[in-house]
Amino acid sequence: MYEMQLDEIVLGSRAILSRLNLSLCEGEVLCILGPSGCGKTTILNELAGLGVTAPWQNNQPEVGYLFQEPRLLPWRTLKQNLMIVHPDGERVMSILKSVKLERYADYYPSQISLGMARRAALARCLLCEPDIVLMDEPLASLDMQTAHEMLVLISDLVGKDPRRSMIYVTHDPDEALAIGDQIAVLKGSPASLFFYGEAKELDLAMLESMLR
Amino acid sequence: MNAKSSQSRLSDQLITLTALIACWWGIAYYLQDPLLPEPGIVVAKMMLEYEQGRLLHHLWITLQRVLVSFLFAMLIGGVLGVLMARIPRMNRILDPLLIILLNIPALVVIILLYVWFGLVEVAAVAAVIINKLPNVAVTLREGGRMFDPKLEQMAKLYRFNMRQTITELWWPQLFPYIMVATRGGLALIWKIVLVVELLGRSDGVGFQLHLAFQLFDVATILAYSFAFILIVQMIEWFILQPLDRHASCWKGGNSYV
Repeated sequence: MYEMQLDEIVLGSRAILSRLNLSLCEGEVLCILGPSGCGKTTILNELAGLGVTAPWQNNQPEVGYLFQEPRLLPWRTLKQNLMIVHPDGERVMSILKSVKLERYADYYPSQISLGMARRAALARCLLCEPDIVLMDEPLASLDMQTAHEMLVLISDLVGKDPRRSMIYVTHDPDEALAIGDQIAVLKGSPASLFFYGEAKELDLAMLESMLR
Repeated sequence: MNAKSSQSRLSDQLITLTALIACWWGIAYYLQDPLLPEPGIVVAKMMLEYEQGRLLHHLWITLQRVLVSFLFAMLIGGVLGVLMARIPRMNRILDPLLIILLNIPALVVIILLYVWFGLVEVAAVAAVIINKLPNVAVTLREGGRMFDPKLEQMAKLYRFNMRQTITELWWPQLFPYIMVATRGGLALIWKIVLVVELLGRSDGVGFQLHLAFQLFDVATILAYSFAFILIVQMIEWFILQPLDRHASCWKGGNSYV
């Protein structure tokens, strides 16, 4: 069980996020929902160790983070991007194969689509064998077909791994119900937890009404 | 870049050069004045200087001064510029010094160093470095300020070590600024080196220009000038442009990364 405690986050003179307490069991998927600008990405940044707080309470897990933009080095090929994180070429090719990009290993990020770049970023994220994968709206700006393929891939590579937990940020209730075991809804200014519980307790109409 | 576009670029450049030479030849032919010799006379003078061994000797001396000054100015200025971009306190401390160095006339630095240290090689090269260093620092400081914060976050997440941070993250982002500083540097440095040689050295292209000036020998002045311009142009064509193309091969296509 991972316990997270986030203190109030203030940007400039404005508090954007109230104090939050969340927990996550091994293999569980927590979806964080909320309107744009409510601090969802800030939460992930803090959990990834890129912020100012130390949110992990008991033990510090190995965290992987799929940023909303792929953040691949544009001057390196996909394979080179992954090899910076993990120098084992065979392992890199095998993970590229698992995200169906082995044919594009020597392509530069500018030569592939956004969906493919996200898959490459997912592969890089998984190379570090994270205990918890943080995902920041991984389906944003993708067409329906590509978004569906990406969701299946995430579900196969992360969601179905019993050792690996996931915190998945989205503003789409459908997506949250499709992938989440637990759901946290953020609302207000500064944003605070409006709902935090099991996904099975909710249906789409309830979730949509919470977000209105 | 394919062979066709490379050929087209070369022919465009040849058009400009040919037009310039034709213009010069037309005016010189019309004036018939030794103060503006025809291109043929300048080329003949260049050949004569080459056959007598003077041209290559003085060009080599000047080129060495240019290269040594360039390397030191780029290295020291580059490191200072990046550190000033990354460390706000360092920027606050060094910024006034940079402003002073940027605004001191090149001639003043050269004269002061010759007066303080004598007409020696070290003073000559140091004067050129001091003149160029602030330009490099300012250019690379701007480069350092433009580092992508999202890639910095990614590097922090994946725990890039210092070597990876410099080679994989900073260097590629600095490269366009390094090329700007290199091109501007070469153009500026060789002009300053000529002044340094003219004022206090007994060899180099600047010294030869000084001799030719005393005799109003415009053909020699132009012969040495064009010979060095040709060398700088060779550096641009055969070193800088291929390097630029090689380093830019990843560009083009999508911009979401």
